[in-house]
Amino acid sequence: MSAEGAIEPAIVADGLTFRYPGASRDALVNVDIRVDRGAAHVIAGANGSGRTTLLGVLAGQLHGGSGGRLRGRVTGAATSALVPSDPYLAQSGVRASVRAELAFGLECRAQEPRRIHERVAAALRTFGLDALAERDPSTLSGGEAARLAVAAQWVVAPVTLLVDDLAAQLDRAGTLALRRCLAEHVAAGGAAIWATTRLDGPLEAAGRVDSAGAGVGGRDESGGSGELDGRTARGAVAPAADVDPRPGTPFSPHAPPSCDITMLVGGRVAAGGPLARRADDPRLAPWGIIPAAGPRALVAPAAAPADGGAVDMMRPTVPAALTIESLTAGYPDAPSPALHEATLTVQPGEIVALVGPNGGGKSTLARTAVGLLPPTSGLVRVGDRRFDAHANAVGPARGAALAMQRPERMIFRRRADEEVAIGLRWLGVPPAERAALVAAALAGAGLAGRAADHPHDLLPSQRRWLALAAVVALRTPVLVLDEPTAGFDAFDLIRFSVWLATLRAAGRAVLWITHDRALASILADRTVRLAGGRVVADERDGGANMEGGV
Amino acid sequence: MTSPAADNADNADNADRGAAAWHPATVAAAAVGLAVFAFLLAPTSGVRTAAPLASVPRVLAPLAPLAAFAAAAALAASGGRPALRRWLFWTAASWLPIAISLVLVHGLVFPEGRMILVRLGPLAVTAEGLAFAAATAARWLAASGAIALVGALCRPAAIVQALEASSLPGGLGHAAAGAVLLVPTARHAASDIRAAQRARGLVVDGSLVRRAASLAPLVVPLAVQLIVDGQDRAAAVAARGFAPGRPMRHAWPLPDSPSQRRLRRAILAAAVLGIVLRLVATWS
Repeated sequence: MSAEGAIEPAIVADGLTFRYPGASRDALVNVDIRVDRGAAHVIAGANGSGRTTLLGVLAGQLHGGSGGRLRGRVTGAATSALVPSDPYLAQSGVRASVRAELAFGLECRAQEPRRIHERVAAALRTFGLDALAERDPSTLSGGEAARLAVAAQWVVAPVTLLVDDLAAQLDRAGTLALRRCLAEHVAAGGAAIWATTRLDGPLEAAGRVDSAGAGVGGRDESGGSGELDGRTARGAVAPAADVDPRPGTPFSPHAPPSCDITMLVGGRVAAGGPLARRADDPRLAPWGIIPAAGPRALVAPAAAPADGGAVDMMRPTVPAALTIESLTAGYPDAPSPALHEATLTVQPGEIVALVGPNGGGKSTLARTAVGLLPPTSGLVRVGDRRFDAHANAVGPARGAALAMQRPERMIFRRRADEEVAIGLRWLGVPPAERAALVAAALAGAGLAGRAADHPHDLLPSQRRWLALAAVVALRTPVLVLDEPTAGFDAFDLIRFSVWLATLRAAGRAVLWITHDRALASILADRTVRLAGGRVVADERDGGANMEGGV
Repeated sequence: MTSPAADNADNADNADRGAAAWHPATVAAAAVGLAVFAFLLAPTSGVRTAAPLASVPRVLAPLAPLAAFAAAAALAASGGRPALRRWLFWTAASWLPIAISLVLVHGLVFPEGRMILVRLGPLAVTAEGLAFAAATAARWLAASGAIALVGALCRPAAIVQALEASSLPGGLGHAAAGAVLLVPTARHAASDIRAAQRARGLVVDGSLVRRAASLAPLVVPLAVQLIVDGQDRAAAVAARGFAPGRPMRHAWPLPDSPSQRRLRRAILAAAVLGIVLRLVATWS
C-alpha cells in the first residue's frame, strides 16, 4: 500500500469535544490524535474516562447529528472500522455461519462474489477461524466471538482498525492472535488503534512468545496437551503460514511494540508519547490504567479486608465447604461430556481460581456446582449436604450462588439497591435485615453513592459490580464467580482485591473462574486448571509454574 | 470404514437435499397455493355452496383439504426424515389449538344445529355443529400443513437471504430477516436469564401464583436486552456497511432456476384467479 517511509495520515482528530444528549459535562474535552498509515496507537484510560466515546467519534458513529454535541474535526472516519467491546453485539444477527457473517460487510457493499470468497477465505485463515467457519456466530465463546468481530471489520479492508478493549473477552491465545492481526494490518500499510484499560495486553512480553519457538500459532496457542482434544482444538488459533509481520511492527508478537499512547483522564488527554516510555509511568495506576507490569503492580497477595463490620456483613449464614467428587456432566446434544470425573474442594475462607482454555469445562463445572445442570455421575457437596443427579435444589437452596458472566442477564429492577434487595426478598429475609445487607453489599462494590440510580445508567463495569453485590448479599456459604473482572480498570482491580479478602475473612468458599492468570496467581489461595473437561493441575502456588496459556 | 461422524454428515446432506433444491420463494408459493386450494374447494356446510363448485361432485369436495394436506406431506417428505419431523411438529403446533377451539365452540354452540347428540344444560352438542367444526378444522389442517412447509424445507439463513434479495422496499427485507433469526437469539438469552435468576434464588416452578411472581425477573431482562441489543445491533450493522434500500450482492446466491420462477408465477396466478372466481360466485 503506502511506500515505506512515506508518512501519510490514516486518521486525524483536532480539538474534539463531545457531550452526550442530556449530559451535564463533556465526555471528551479538546482531544487531539493523529495516527499515520503503517502505525499503531494505544488509547488508555479508566472506565468512564472517555475511551469508548473517543473511538465512537473517530469511527464517525458519534457525531453532532446523533443527538450529542461535537466540536472539532475528524478526518479519516469514513475509512475506519470500529470493533466494539462486546463482540456479540458486533454480529449482524442475520447470518447463520461464521463464513456468512464475514461475507456480510462485503455483501452490503455489493462486491463481486468472487472477491468476497477470496477475502472471506483470507480472513478465516488470518484469524484462525477456519475450523469455526460453519459454526453459528451466536454460539461462539467470548474469545472466538472477539476474533470474529475483528475479522469481520478487517475483511472490508478499512484503513484504520479501531479496537475497543476486546482483551477483556480474550484468553492469552486470543490476545496474541489479536496482536498478530493488528500487526499484520499495520505491516500492510493500515493503521490500528487499540483502546484499553490495561497495558499488559498490548505489551505482553514478546520474549516469552519467541521462546516458544513458533511464535504465534505455536505452542503458546494450543497450551498443554490436555487441550488438544475435540472441543478445544476447534477453537485453537491455527498458525497462518503466510503471516509473518516484520519484527518491530507495532503489536507484533515477535517484538516489543513501538507506537504512541494517549492517556485519557476525565475526557482529557493527560499524557502521551511513545508507549515504551509510558509503560510503567507511576501515574498510570492513579489514573486507573493497569500498567504494563500487570495486576502485580497494583494488588498485593495479602490485601486487608475492608473492615471488621464489612466482614461481619459478608459472613455466610452457615460456613460450609464446596466438594466436587468425580463429577461428570454435559449437555444433551453434545457428543461427549463437557466435564469428566472432576474432583476439587473449596474450604470455607478459601479462594480457588479456576483457569483453563475456552471450552475446557469451567462454565459447566460452575453450573453443575450450583445445581443448574444435573451431573451425569458424581456428586456435589455443600457442607454435609449431598447433591447427586436427582437433587433439584438450585442456587441458595443448596447453599451456593453464581454470578454469571453477563450482568445484563439478571438485572431487572429500576434501582441499584432494589436489584440487590430482590434476591434477599426471594429468600424471605426480613426488611430491616435486608436493608443493612443491601447497604453493606453496595458499599463493598463501590456503589454506596449509586443506590438510587437506574442500573442502566451505570458504566458496564459498575453493572458488573452490581451483579456481584446482588449475589454476595445472599450470604450463601459457597460463591461461584464467572469472569467477574472482565473490563475492570486499575481502580476496580484494587477494589476487587479488598472484596475477595473480605470474603476470605468472612469464611466464604469462593470458586473464581478467570482468564486473568496474573491476577489469579496473586489473589487466589489455589489455582485449579481445567482442560478437556478434566482437572489437569491443582496447585497452591497460584499456578505460577503451570505450563501452557490460559 | 464408515465412522459415526461420516454417517452424521451423510444424514445432514440428505436432510438438506430437499431444502437446497427449492428456493424459499418457491416453497412459499407452493404453501400459499395449497392453502388457497384447500379453502376454495372445500364446501362450507350450512352455508350455500358457491356456484362454480356446483359442478364439483359433492362427494369429492370434502376431500380437497385432505388432498392439499397430503400434497404438503409429500413435499415435506421429499426433504428427508428430519424435514418431515420438523413439518409434523410445526403443523401440529399451529393446528391443534385451532382445532380444539373449533370443536369446543361449534360443537357446543351451533344455532342451526337440529340433531342433538348430548345436552349439557344450556349447551347442546349437535351433529351439524360437529360436522361444521370438522370441515373447518380440515381446511385449517391443510393451511397449517402448507405454511409449515416453509419452516420444514427452508433453512432460516436461506429465508433470510431470500428476504434480503427480495424487492421489499427499504430495509423491510432486512428487518423481516432479522425477525426470523431473532427467535433463536431470544431463546438463547431467555435460557441464560432463567439460569442467572435461579442461581440467585428465584423459584421458577411450583404453584401458579409463584410462577406468575417469577415472570418479571425473566421477562424484563429479556425485553430490555432485545431493545438495547436491537439499538446496538442497528449501529453495528450500519458500521458494517448496511444501508436500508441499498441493494446487497450475496456471496453465495441461493440456487434458483427459470423453471422454478415460472412455477412460482403459475401457482400464484392460479391462486389469485381462484380467489377472484370464488368472490365473483359468492357475490353473484
